[in-house]
Amino acid sequence: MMYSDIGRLNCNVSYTTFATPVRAQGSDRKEFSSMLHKALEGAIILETFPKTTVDVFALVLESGGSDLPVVISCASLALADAGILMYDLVTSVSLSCLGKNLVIDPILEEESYQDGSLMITCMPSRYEVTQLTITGEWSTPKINEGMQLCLDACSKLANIMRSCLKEATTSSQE
Amino acid sequence: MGGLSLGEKNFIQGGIAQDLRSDGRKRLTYRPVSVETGVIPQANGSARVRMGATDVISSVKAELGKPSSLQPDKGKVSIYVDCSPTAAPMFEGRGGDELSTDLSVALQCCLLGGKSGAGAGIDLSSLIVVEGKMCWGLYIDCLVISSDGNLLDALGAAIKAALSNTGIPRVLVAAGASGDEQPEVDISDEEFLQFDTSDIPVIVTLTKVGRHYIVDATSEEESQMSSAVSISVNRKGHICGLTKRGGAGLDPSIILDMISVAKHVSEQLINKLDSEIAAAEAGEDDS
Repeated sequence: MMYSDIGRLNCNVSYTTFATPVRAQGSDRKEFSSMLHKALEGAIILETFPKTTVDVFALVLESGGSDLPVVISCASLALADAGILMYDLVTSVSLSCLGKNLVIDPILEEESYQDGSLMITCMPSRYEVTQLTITGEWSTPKINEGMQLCLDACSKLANIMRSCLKEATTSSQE
Repeated sequence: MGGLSLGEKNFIQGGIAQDLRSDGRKRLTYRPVSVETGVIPQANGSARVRMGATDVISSVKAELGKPSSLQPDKGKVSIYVDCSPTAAPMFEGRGGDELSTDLSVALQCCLLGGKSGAGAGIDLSSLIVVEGKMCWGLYIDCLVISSDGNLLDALGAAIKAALSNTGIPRVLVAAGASGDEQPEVDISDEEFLQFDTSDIPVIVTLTKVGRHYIVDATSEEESQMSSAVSISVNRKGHICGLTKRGGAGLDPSIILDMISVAKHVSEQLINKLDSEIAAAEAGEDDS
């Protein structure tokens, strides 16, 4: 591998064969892997570990909707647990648009009937969006509403993740 | 591109800050777009789009198949992108694979709409022949021949042009097929159905360099970007998809500002593309 004066990030997302309602053969999700990479690369301070690669492996045991946001939040928690320097925790929340309603953290059934989806990945303390995907037809006010909903949920999720990390360190010290 | 000197980098960034880019364009001006349709005789529809030195081909092939059991009333559309090693040296071997998947996913997200089909450029229910048994599957294959930045916008335009060039043969279903049998069909080779492509969105990529954002970035300008947001907008001015590239985070208010700029730019782009496509179709009929 070529010399690099900043660290590298390598992400891989895969599914177990029994994770989905229809048994899947190809369990590697390349598109999810690259989305995970894009979501995390802006948060990790890669300059702090030159000549090194950080591998992030995610395995979805059971898919119940909102897979990618959960994978991203989980991966950032694991990176924090591993002591990798990051600017901030990365949290991710998705929502589905069903008719006129917006539902946050949709389950698999809701996702399969959705008219559109919106996924935000952000660093809540810095209030920066690292990744955003929208599908389906949206008007601007609706995007506004959806983004605000997701960002609020992201900051709530970050609080939970923080307290979870604190608990883990205190319990390991005892 | 790592081959830029500090001086060149400053020149590009300074130019963008002053609203005068190295090729004389303003921040929100596209390069001249040229469209050619019907370039691949074997396909049901095809188009070649050039934006400056960026050159892409898109072809549409239609095949009869079985609809998926989850959505028996809808046809199938899949989009694949291939990056030719002739486009850039880094695409050689496996190098283009990652970019190809990224582009395919982004195009699917921007053009195919939500799961229920809302906001899709292509009406999937129009592809059905016999509900639950037979449907058309559209395979949209794109090839990047030469890459000089802004691939996603060029690919989006090529797909739009290829689809307006596409004719799907009319299918006559023989009566009497019942139960679980596959119905017998007669594919006409004279009558073709055309797509309504007016709803297909265009993709506008805003590349953020420094504090400003630009459209239709060349690869030199792309090497200086902190992040890029691709927004697909249809004729009604509704957003049909959005993806973001680049590691740097963006403030939510900047994203909303980008969306309104993209809407404004897309109006001009849609009109320009439509007239180019119409001219290409007219030229093809003449020859």
